[in-house]
Amino acid sequence: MSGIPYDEAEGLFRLGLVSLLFLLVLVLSRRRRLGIDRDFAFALVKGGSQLAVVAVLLTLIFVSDLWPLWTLLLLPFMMFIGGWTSARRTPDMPNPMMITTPSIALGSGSVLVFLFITGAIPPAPQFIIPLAGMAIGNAMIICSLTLDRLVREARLNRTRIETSLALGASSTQSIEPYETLSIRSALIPTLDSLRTLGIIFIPGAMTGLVLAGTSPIVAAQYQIIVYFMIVGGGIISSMTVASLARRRLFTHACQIEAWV
Amino acid sequence: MSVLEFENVHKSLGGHPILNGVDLKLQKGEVIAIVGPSGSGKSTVLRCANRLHDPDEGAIKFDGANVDGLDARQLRSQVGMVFQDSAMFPGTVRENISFGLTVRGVDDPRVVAKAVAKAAKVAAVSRRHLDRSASKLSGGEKQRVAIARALAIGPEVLLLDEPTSEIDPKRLRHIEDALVSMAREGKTSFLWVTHSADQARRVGDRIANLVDGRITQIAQPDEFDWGVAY
Ligand SMILES: Nc1ncnc2c1ncn2[C@@H]1O[C@H](COP(=O)(O)OP(=O)(O)OP(=O)(O)O)[C@@H](O)[C@H]1O
Ligand SMILES: [Mg+2]
Repeated sequence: MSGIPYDEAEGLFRLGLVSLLFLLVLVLSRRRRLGIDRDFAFALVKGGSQLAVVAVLLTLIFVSDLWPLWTLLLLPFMMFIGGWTSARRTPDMPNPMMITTPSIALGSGSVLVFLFITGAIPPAPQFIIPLAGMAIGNAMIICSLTLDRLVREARLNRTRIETSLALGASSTQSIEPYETLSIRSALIPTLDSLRTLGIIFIPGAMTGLVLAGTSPIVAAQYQIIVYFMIVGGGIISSMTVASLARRRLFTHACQIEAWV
Repeated sequence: MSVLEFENVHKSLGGHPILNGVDLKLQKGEVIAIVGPSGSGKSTVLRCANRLHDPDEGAIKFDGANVDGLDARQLRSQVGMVFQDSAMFPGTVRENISFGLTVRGVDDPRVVAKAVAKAAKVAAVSRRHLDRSASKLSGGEKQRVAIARALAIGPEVLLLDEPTSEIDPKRLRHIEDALVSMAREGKTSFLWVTHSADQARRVGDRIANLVDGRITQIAQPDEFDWGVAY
């Protein structure tokens, strides 16, 4: 056996059946006045249509002879969307995309290249695109968490930072404790899920591979590779965004910028 | 010659004009006490002098040189500042007092110990407190550490922003006397913001009144007209 044992038509029928359950949940949440039914329905429609478009797009890329070209176009686009999404977390900072996009690209890009060179990712779009999605998505989340925390810490500790500047510290020296804090706290969710891997949390890649019929042992090996990718890419993009943000928080004369 | 000079300094913050043409000359070895209502821009004046802010208009000169041409970190090793809130760094009192030396890479333990001891003495920080955690000190104790921390660098000009508001009378007099005698030696000059008229009279060679971002009166204590002040 390999993969889910039914074709597209049967898949659609089953999706319809499962939707009934979802409708039931929606009705229930409406009665309880949770106030989430609208958001939820909207998110489902948005997420569902995005997935549908992606499914079609992936199918086209998978059968195309030009797949390397499409892949090379798709990855920067994904990084760009990641940078844009992450940048919306710090609306006060001028041009935050100019620091989030390179951080996400560097973090996810460097591990992807490494995995590709070592042969951990086979040279086929079926592997490259979903793995890149995971790497970029995680780099994005960690980038957002780092930046959000750093800006908040800078605001909260403004007096302390200015005191250290007034005593002759450089911008780097004065923000360093808060940078460390932001990077660490941004990595906590990833580290916690790594710690409980397989016990609480059967991670996505492994679920996917097992569903697709891969042996659980190979799936587990692959999951560890995926985790190296996520943690490595996350740490790189977190450190990159923190050090790029430093130049946004301070002027050349070691002053805190007015927007902070 | 004046060591620090403000010429027609204007500064807006958050879209509001805060300083509206400040003129001030601090002589070498002089103490100028700055008084004025809350929100009149006293802290902003000090923050311009060590380039935590740059003026929008006008000039600030240190030893005759416009500060906007000086390296900010270099300037701040000669123009020290004690903030209105004495925010402590994590670590001990000793680490707080030697902070300015540490960030400059001064790590000879004898040099550091000497600077810490000298600064602690002026600021009435007892030697027994040096190994305590700075963040757990009382308000007045923190203020004394903040003063010592700024002194340890050995600045030529010290900007003091209500540095003693929570310090007990006995230590207050000790600190005032020690700082004023540093000024008398001619090496250190002070811009000293205070809300206490008595303190302004005790420490100030001159008293400056800052109202709505302008110096409205500057005079020696016996000539300063408190009737129109504030
Ligand atoms: N970063 C800033 N952004 C906007 N407004 C500011 C900023 N910093 C200070 N201000 C405003 O500038 C004005 C002057 O502030 P400043 O701290 O210089 O007053 P002050 O004379 O020191 O008052 P106090 O005696 O209460 O310490 C205040 O109205 C304050 O709200
Ligand atoms: Mg003030």
